[in-house]
Amino acid sequence: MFLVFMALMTLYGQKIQLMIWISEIERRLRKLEKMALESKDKLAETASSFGREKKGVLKDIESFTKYFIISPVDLDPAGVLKRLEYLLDMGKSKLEEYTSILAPKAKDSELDNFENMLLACVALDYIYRVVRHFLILGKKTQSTLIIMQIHMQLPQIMEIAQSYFKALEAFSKGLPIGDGIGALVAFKLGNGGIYKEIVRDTIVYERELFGRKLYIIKAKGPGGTVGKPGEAVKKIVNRERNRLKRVIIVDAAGKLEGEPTGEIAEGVGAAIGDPGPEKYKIEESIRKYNIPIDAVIIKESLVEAITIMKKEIALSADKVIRKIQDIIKSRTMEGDRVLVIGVGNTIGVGQ
Amino acid sequence: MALDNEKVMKISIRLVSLSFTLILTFLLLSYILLFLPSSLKAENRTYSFQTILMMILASSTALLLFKQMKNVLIPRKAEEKILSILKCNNCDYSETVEFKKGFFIGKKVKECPKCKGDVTVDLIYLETPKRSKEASKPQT
Repeated sequence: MFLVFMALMTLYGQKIQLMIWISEIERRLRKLEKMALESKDKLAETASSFGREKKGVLKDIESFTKYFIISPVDLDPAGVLKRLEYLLDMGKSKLEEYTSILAPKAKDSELDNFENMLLACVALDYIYRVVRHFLILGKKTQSTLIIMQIHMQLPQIMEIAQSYFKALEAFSKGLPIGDGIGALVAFKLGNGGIYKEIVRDTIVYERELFGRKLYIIKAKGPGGTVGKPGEAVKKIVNRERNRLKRVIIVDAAGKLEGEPTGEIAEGVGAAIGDPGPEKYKIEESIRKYNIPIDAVIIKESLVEAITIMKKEIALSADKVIRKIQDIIKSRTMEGDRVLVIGVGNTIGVGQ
Repeated sequence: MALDNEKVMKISIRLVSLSFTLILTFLLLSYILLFLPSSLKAENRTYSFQTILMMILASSTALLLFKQMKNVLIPRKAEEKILSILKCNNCDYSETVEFKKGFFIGKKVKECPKCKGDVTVDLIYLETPKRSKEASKPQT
């Protein structure tokens, strides 16, 4: 009996393990499929409240969720950021075209939120298709390596998928998300001051504080958009030149496991998580006139960044404002001009 | 379609009773197998490979079932609330209300009952009650 058992385990142990892994991946793939389908249903439901019939809209959603952007060639890096920015702008206008087809009667801020919903659907659909691809590939080739890799990464993949699924609620109701803490800080700091739209979807407040003139940049809310903070910084820096004595940038940043959510840290550099063009514009503008830059970050996980803003994150806004006030008081003088940038998705945060 | 609370409760009770019965059965089986040799004659009082294997299988099945039962018993989703803090722009008036559709931070929602100033939405956040580590694990 013992010998039979040992022989079976030696010859078929790996096969049995592979079968267990495959069945676990299949179980989770069914969950991913359910999430992808439900997200499309939610999107169709929202679209039907903006003047589209649910029947026809599902067909359009199905084709729009295969949306993609091809990154520019970087073998010749000269001008790659300009090309990337151009492609991102093209991608944005394509998305706007899709959203206006899906939700013809939506207002501007509702269209922004709807666009975020569509992007969450795209992400969920993509995750489902990638996991399915590796499962089928692994089964076809009977490759333990492929199956093992996807099985081991599945807990993280499921967590990301679930956060995108949860984010749909925030986007459909126009609720602030964790990533919007930078915009919230800018709003609280600039509230009461006059503001104007300096570049598309980006506003700048002007107000006096401790005898200093403050320019505060944030995306235009309450729709879900990140605006173009880099472009706005470039405009202000080119206008103010050496009169600008300090730049303070506030953004949400990824925390390490074990670090508390909402913890504040201070450093130096352009704290902005964009694909590149906006960060480059900020760095290039401040370098041109040797303007010192302070970065204040609020720590949160990836899941917290795209789901409804948690209490710990929301309450950290006042602490960040106190930190900014300290920086202004201690590192600038009366009569100086200071630029504060609140980076992040401004969904649910007005002006 | 989501199940209502009553149905979920009924299913949970059935699952818990079934798991409890199975745990008892497997524990009993392990116990019998453990003391089986002592009931035999002196010369046969040894554990055979099958007995050891059965004991391991029975006790590990009981352990697995116990873990599953724990998951059913501990409520996975704690009550989460989306709250809004409303503040008056002129005085210290402030109140916390549940989020309503159409609210956004900075929106004027009403007149201040104290000073007749503008009351605006100051914060919107998700409040999650404190729960055990087990229950806060992501459901994968």
